[in-house]
Amino acid sequence: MQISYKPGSSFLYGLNPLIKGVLCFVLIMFFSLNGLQLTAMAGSLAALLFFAALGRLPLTDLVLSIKRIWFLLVIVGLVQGFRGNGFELAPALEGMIRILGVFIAAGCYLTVSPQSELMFFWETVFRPLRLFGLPARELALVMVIAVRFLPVMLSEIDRIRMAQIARGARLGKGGFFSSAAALMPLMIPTLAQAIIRGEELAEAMEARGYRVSGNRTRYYRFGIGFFDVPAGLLALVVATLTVWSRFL
Amino acid sequence: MSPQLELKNLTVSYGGKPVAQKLNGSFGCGRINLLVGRAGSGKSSLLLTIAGFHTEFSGQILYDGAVFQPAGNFSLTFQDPESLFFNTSVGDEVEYSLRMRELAENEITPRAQQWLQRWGLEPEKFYSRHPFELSGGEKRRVALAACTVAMPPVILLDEPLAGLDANGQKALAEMLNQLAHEHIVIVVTHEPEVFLHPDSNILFLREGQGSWFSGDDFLRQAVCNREFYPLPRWYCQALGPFSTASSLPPVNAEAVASFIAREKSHADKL
Repeated sequence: MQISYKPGSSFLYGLNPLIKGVLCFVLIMFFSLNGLQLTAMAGSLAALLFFAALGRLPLTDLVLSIKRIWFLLVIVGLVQGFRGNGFELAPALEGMIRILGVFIAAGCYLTVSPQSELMFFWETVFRPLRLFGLPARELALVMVIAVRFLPVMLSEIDRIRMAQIARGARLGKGGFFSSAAALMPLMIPTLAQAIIRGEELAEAMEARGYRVSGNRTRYYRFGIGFFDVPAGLLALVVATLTVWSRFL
Repeated sequence: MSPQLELKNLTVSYGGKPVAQKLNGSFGCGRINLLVGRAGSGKSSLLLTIAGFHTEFSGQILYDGAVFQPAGNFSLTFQDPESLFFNTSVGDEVEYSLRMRELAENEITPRAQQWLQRWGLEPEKFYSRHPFELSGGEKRRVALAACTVAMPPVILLDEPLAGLDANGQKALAEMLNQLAHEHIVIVVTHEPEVFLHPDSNILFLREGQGSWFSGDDFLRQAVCNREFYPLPRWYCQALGPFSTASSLPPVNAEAVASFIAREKSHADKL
């Protein structure tokens, strides 16, 4: 199950793209840096899922997509668990909740943000770089394409894996190390496909008249809505909580 | 006795919703097995379940009496042949299956070239070309060659006729008929008439239920009732008066003409 924009009409979809982006960033920082105890962290994750459900996001898809990072979760759990003397469950779970929180926050953000909103957010964030002569628009475009390409690349890996199994490869057999080694043949075709897709995208953009230079007008204009103020306040509270729990 | 791929109480679901329920029956060698039904009836899902890619199912898939282990024992061509390509040349694509089965290095290229030739693609012309450069029909044939070269016991094909012209379709049906002598060939298709023979084995999926037919029964039902399955109108009209005959001809103009001539001369004699 891949995470990508799914059309919807809840309050989460209606938020200003800048507020959405900032809220997502703050949540990611919160789950990465907070100094809370395990129970509070689990509560925070539950609250995040509650808000996602309230915003009518496809929670099943989000939860199913966790299987893509199970390996990362296990590694983090093991590393954190063995940090002290012997294995301890609490730090292992804390580490895993941090990863899950970051993953779900980013997943929610990508689910409610179409390409145009992502582009608006990154352009706004990069705008100050223009003062230093850096190409803010182009950097924003690169960011958006990179983010949007991740699910495409994941499905590409799935496709190649299926094509190899469909012709006799036994990728899933033979324990951890042989499974890891079997992933290597996926890498070159995936990279080749990424280059092919990149060229296709460039052609498609040129075909639609995209040019790097020049002042561009905006088809969608984003204002401040009813839910933007509480969402902004929530971002402020979460940021304060992160700093307070970590540094004070 | 040749091995059978048996479905036992098989229910295939998507997101908890069953798309094909309680399928019981078997696919065998000696004839092409056809999986037909309207779009969305669960044909491709069943194929992916047999291949082990779709795991949301209950019931059993047995091969020769034991639970079917897909790894290394099947090949599958997808609806879109491009989905199958991940190498940079046609030769590498066809050789991949042989390498996976650890064939001796000096046997791989000659066998791959011979197999490509058999699918109507000149090795000298196609072997080093990129698969994405080929025409739709050529891609389809490369995909089929790449999937069948290692001769796995179970060969699964999802809509193999798309992109092939009439001659290509006929040649494919002949090739698959040959393969079906020793392998279990299961074909998902919206054009069963290309493969249909009186002794074909057909699993017809409709509204979540599966019904098994012999080719003869399927043709008879389709001729009597256009709602059952939309075979070509000319075939149904020509054979309408003969729907009670003991055996109907395949959907082929020559076969139908000789069948009608034979039936008429038989009636005249009587």
